[in-house]
Amino acid sequence: MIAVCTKPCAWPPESLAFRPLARLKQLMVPATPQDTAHIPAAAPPQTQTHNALLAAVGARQDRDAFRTLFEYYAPRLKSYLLKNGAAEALAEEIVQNTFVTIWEKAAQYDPQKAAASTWIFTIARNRRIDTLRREKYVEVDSDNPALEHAATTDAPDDAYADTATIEKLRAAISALPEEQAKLLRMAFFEDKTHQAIADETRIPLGTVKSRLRLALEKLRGGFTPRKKTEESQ
Amino acid sequence: MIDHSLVEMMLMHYAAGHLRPTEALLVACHVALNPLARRKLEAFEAMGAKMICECPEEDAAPVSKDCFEKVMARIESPAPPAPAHTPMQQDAAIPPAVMKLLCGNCTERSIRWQKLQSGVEAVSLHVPAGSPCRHRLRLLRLSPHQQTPAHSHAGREVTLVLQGGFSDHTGSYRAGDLIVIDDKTFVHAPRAGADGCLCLMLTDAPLLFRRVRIWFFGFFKRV
Repeated sequence: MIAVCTKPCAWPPESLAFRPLARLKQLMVPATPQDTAHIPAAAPPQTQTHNALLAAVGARQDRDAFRTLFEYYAPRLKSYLLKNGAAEALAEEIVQNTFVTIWEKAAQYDPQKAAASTWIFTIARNRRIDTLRREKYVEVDSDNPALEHAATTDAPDDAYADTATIEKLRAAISALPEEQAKLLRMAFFEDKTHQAIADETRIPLGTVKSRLRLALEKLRGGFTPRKKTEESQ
Repeated sequence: MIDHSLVEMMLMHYAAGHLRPTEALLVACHVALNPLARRKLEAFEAMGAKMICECPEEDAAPVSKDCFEKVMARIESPAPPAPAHTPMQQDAAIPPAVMKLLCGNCTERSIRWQKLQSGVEAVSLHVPAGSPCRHRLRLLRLSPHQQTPAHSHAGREVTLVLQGGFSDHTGSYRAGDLIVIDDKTFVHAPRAGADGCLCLMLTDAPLLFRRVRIWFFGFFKRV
C-alpha cells in the first residue's frame, strides 16, 4: 500500500531559507515608519531578587517567595502564551503546569548557571510544547559527564572557554537596530511566521527575511567565529 | 555552500520552542555535545526571558483569581513519580534520546546496521510523532577514511556528528558539530576521519548521487 501524505510539510521553516536576493532588496526598500516603532524599554527586572527568591523556593520550599514569583511571572507568561496562539483556558493550564514544575525543580536551580527569569522561561517553553503536543519537548541533557568529557577533550577551542559569551550576545541583542530587534522579537516571542510579520508590519516578505538574517548575523558576531570551518573555505 | 548562520537560526528556534520534535532532537544533542552551542542557546533563552520581563504592565494578562490556589493544591497532592533519568554510559556515543528511537530494546552494540556499501552503514530511526511526514532520521556510520559517493541534496539535510568526524571541501567537522545544508546546488563527497564517523542525519528528501548506478542503489535502499 502506498501512503500518501497530504499534510503540508512545515520543513523547511520559512526562517531557514536562504535568499541572497533578499539582501539586495533590503538595501533598496527604505525603512517604513512602523519599522522604527519603539519597543517600550521596561525597567531591568530585579534579577538578583528573583534569583534569591527562586533559590529560597528550592532551599526551603519558601511559599512567600514562590507567591512573589508567581505574581510577577504568571501574567507575563500568560501574555506570552496568548501571543503564541494558546486559547485562554489552555494558557492558564500551561501557566499552572509551569509553576508546578518550577516548585518541583526549584531545588535544582543554580543561580550561578542561569538567571531565574531564563530558567523560568525555559520551563514555560517546554511545558507549552508538552501541553500542546502531548509530547515531550526534547530537552537538553545538561548533566551528561560522558558528553561533557567528549566535548571538552575534543574541543580545546578558546571559543568555548570564553565565559563572557552570553554577555556578548546580550550586548549584541541590545545593540541591534530597532527594526531588526522588532522583527526578531516578533519571530521569537510571538511565534509569527515571516509572512504574518510581513503582513502586520507591511514590510515586504523579502525584507523581513533579510532583516532577520542580518540580525542573526550580528548576533553571530558576538561569538568567536568557528575558525576551523571558516578558514578552510 | 554550507551556510553556518542556519545553525544559529535553529538554535534560536529551539530556544523559542518552534522546532518540530525531529529538529529539536538534533539541536538538543548538538547542545549537549558542544559547549559553545550551549552558551549560544543560553543566550537565546536569556533573550526570551528578557522579552517576557520587559512585557509592559498593561500587556500582562491577569490570571484567574484561583490560579495560584490550584497550583498549590496540585503541589500538595502526591505527585506521580518522575520518570527515571537514564544517564549516558561513559563510553556511549549515541545519546539516550536517540537510542529510544531505535526499534526494539537494542543497545549500542546490538544495533542492526544496514550495509549500504563497503564501509558505509546506516540504520533508520523511528520519527517522533508531531514531525512532518517527510522527515527521515537515521544514524550513519563510516569506516575510517571511508569516502561517500559525491551527492547533492534534494531538500534540507541536518547532520550532527556524534563520534569521530568527517571532512569535505568546505572544511572538517568533528563530534558535536551540527551541519545544515540547504542548497540544492551544493555537491560534496564527505570523507570520514581517522576514527571513522558516526552521525545522526535528518533529511526531508533523498540524497541525489552523481553516479546513476549508485543513485539506483541508493534509491532502493532509501538513502
